[in-house]
Amino acid sequence: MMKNKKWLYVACIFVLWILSSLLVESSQAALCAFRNPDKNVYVLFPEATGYRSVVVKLDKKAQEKTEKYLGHKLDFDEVGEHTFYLILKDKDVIGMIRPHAERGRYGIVEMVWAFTLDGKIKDYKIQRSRERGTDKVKRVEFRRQFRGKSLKTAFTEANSKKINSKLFKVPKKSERICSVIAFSAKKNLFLYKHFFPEYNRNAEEHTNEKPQPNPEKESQEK
Amino acid sequence: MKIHEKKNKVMIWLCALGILGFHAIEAVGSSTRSEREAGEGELFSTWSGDSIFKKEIIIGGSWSDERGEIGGKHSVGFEFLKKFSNAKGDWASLFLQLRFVRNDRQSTLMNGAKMAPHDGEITGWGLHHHDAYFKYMGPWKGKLYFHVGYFEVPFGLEQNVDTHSTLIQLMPIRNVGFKRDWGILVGGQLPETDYDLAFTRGAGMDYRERGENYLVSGRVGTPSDRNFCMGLSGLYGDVIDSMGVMRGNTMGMMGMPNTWFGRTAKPADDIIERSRVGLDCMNLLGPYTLKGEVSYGEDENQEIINSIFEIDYLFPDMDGRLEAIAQIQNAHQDIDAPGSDDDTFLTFGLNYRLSRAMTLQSMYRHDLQRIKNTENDNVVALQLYTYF
Repeated sequence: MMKNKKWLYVACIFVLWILSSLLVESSQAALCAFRNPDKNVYVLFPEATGYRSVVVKLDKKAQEKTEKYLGHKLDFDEVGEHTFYLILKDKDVIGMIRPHAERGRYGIVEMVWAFTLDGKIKDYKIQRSRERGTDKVKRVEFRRQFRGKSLKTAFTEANSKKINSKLFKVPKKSERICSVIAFSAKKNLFLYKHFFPEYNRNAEEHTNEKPQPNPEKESQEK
Repeated sequence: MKIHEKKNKVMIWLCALGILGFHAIEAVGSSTRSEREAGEGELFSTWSGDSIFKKEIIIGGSWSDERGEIGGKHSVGFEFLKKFSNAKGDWASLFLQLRFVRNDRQSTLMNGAKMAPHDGEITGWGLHHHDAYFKYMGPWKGKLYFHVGYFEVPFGLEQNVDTHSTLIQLMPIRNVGFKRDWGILVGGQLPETDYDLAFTRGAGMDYRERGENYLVSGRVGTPSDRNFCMGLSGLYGDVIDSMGVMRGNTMGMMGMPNTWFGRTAKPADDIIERSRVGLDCMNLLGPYTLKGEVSYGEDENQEIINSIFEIDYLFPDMDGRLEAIAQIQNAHQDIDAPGSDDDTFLTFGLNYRLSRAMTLQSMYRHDLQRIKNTENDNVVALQLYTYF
């Protein structure tokens, strides 16, 4: 009798579990894609006082649109939910952070992108990376090339994931990871615009403009 | 109805209500991307907004050549993460992880916790909770946070390696007695240091208060978001650990009584005095991940040295789907005693990610030396893990 009751309970749990999926749209989000969000938020946005995480879902239509733009299919584990972080100064949104893991040859390269409210790259940070040349792409000399770039920048060569070496100076023996970063920039700017069109107003074309170096900030970073 | 059956029944219904409740809340407060217009100084957000609910199914089996039988461990469960926000941002989160587990002739093979043979065999149903805590971040920008509830004990590699769904495990059972405990934790992330300090019940999954059980534990380490990280851990307390008591047991010879830690009285309520200090490190090097941990301490009056070394290899150009693992664990009980007990085993694993949701895991474990001079064992295990 007790055994039958146990099976009844199991069946009830299972049925409830299945039915529960009907109550809401599937929220199949990755639980954590951002190591140490607190620390990195305030490094990339020193003036920030807080942040708010937002989980958004890439549906089939958006996936097709993204893949058409990129010219490549998304990785098998990139479909579904994505997490963005609205960066706040008091109650005002001052920027966006998008943590992203792009696949390299030996595994994922964990990056954190910082975007401005007009759809441009503010900076990026690499957390963990298995690729060769990671130390070179962490340096401000390489990162500076991405600052101020927007969706209209030709990050990669046409129909390729390879970094556009005509636009970006690639350190020696690090082309693979540079390409990973460039492709990630392209992908995440697109996703940023797709999910947050209100923060991508006034995006201007900067493909030929080189951002001016800031000596004071660079000396602090070094 | 027996007490434990009644307890299981209550837990099962609570779990069921919990599942429905969370989904109902999530349905009402379906996610929004617009800023909230909460009043200034508002402490609590509305119970809605950004939350994540994931389901999990595990189907697993193992075979032991010493026992000559097949064991099984299956579970269905869920994970729930809820962020609390106000106008000034996220300030807290709630994390719940529950599993409804079915064991069949399972002597903790799949979790790699070795103990005296032919003991600890588990068959039946159970409700396991893996994480159930509230995290308060406050206004300290990550430099200070608090956990209240049931969370991982801050000690060793386990802090930075997610093993809640893996066949191959690390050594928290030998060092702490359990992976998680009930209590409070204070921690933070400074520019070059992560730190955590916890004061917990010292009982593991079931909250048991026998008057004197407690545990103080902590870890200080380099930031975990880098390729290389290392940490220093420590713990001290009176913990409830029945397996630890068994390891301290010596059978009496020639009519002499059994002893536990050199005394004829078995520790009351399975509570033993435990201390450890440990050093751990992890390094990502191309396709390799190297992990190592060594710890030293005492269980009652017996000195313990535990160590583990693991190499993981991600096969290149396979989208990170295929991973091979090799691990050696050595646990030395009562190192001062002649013929002291020593558990050493090698484990090899191969994991293949079939899809975004499903991973097939396999493991082979070979005993090199087994505690209490019992027979060595070879264990083969398979597990299908689905997370969606």
